[in-house]
Amino acid sequence: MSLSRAQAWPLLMCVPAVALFAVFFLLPLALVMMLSAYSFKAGVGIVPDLSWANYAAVIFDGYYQQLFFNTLFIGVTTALVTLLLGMPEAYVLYRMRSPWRTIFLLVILGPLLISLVVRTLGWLILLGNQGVLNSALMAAGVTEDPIRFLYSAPAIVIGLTHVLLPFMVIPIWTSLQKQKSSVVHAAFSLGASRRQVFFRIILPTALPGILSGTMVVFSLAASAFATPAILGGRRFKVVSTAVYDEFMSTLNWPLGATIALFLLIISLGSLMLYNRLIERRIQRWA
Amino acid sequence: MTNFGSKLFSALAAGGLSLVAAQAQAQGKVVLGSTSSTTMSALNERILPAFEKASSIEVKNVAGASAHHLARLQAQQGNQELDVVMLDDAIMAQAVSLGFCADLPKAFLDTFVPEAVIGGQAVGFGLNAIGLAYNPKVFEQKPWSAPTSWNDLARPEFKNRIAVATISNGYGLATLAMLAKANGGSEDNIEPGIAAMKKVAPNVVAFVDSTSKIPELFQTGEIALTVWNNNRVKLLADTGLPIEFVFPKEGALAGVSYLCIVKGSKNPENARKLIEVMTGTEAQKLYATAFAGGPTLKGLTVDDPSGLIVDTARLRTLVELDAKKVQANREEWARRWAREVER
Repeated sequence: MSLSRAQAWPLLMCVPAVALFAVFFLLPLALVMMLSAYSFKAGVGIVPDLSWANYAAVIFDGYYQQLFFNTLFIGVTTALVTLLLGMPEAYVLYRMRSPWRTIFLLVILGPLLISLVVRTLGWLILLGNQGVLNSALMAAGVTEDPIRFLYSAPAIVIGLTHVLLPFMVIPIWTSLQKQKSSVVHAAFSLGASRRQVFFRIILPTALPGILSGTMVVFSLAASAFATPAILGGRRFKVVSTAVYDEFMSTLNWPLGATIALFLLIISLGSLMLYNRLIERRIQRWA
Repeated sequence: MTNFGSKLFSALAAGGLSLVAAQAQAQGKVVLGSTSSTTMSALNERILPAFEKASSIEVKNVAGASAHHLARLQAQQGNQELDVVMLDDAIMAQAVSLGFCADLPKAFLDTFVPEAVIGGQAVGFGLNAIGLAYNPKVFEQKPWSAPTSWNDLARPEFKNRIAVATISNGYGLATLAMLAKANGGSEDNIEPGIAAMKKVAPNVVAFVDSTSKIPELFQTGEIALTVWNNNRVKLLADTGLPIEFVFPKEGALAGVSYLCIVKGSKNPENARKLIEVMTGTEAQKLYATAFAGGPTLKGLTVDDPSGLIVDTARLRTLVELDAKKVQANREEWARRWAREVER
């Protein structure tokens, strides 16, 4: 079978991307899958016997169930909080005139220009027991002993929301731009209420952006490592820090690989489900 | 692991570090994996420059936590980047049993006291004691009575004022094992240790991965008490920080800092030379003055103005852990620690 030139071009153009994915994603993924079937014996190391033992250990252990619950909780909560903050922010940005729009776009993107670790350490200083917030509360007489903000789910959600907000604002803003603002004016002039304008015009327009924004934020939050490691400490554990522990401390790589695969499967599964639900809604509104 | 698999893993895991390895393969180089900041200044300012000058061998010093060096040894099996590695007791015992260390000549090992040698592979360059370290200023202000026992970690007034290393760290392991021993347990019966740690946990403001965070926590007044060794306390006290070391009444834990040549080292000859210098008389005298490191060479005595140095005679008064039993139970302890203590 020979391909015409017009057919061959798109295939050729895919080659670099496919090669990149094969070498840097599929191959390591295959290795991780292989590793997850091995076992680890203390004092001996990794033993290449094939079994489902690691999978059983992860599925039936309440400890890992808790970790997965924590991780999904962090992912969903962060996505919701960034949506609640990002939606109005995107709308305001959409209604702005230049040059303000450019300036505020830069302000929103600003945090991305600073190293993730530096930003997270900033929260460590703010939320610590002897930190800015606690010092202020104690000086104001609100509390006598410092309140423990750190090493908890809220600390991680705060840190991740700060880091991931641009990933919500930008896609929603992009989606909104498809609609001319004159449509909103037209709706008002025809007697639509604010509620109607929001639910019939703005929200449907923003929906594709909301979809991609929440998906990106959820997956980045569920797989985040640095922020939970710094702000969650060792008390509030998520899957990515547990994987790190198994690889770097316990040296039980097979178990670490198994946990990592479960995280991949669960995030992928929930994203696909979510995508289907929202896509259907978009089609109905369109 | 299959050979192919392990090679690919090491290639992937080694990442940028393999560049370092490639460089070090050239003549006259050696890669040292060193731990903690205890030895940092003594090594970087004195021992390594002198060694480089005298031998014209270039030393690449990769600093990191013991556990992470071990992970690196596992990742780079078959293509080791490190030539010499420095590890704490428990981790070195693990490295030796996993077969990451090469044999050292018997004549060389015979110059050391037997307490400072693991198998025929690892050799100790310094003795220390793991006990309690506290901030006397904070204790005076409160006022709290100075800690004397491992069980003092559980005193309710220390709520949120303690840091304890996590179980993958030697100090975390020591804390658990010593609490077990102080409460009627042992390496075979960790239950009393876990029970005691559960009482300590509310006092713990942070379970730290690496004790490199401890000086900062002490400095800011965030913590007033921790489990640490006399070497680190001596170093910090010398910088002017209010910190004091306590040998608990149930006994401090004997500690040894070890070196070994990595099996499959690309520069074995240079590695051997480096180990000889790092464990030599000159170096050990420097360790004693710099951080109260106890000598491990047979017949070597050092001055001890601080009263903190653990020599071989004092070492025998300290509690020793059965490395084999610790090795066998370590994973189970870590499992229980993660589930019952760190929450």
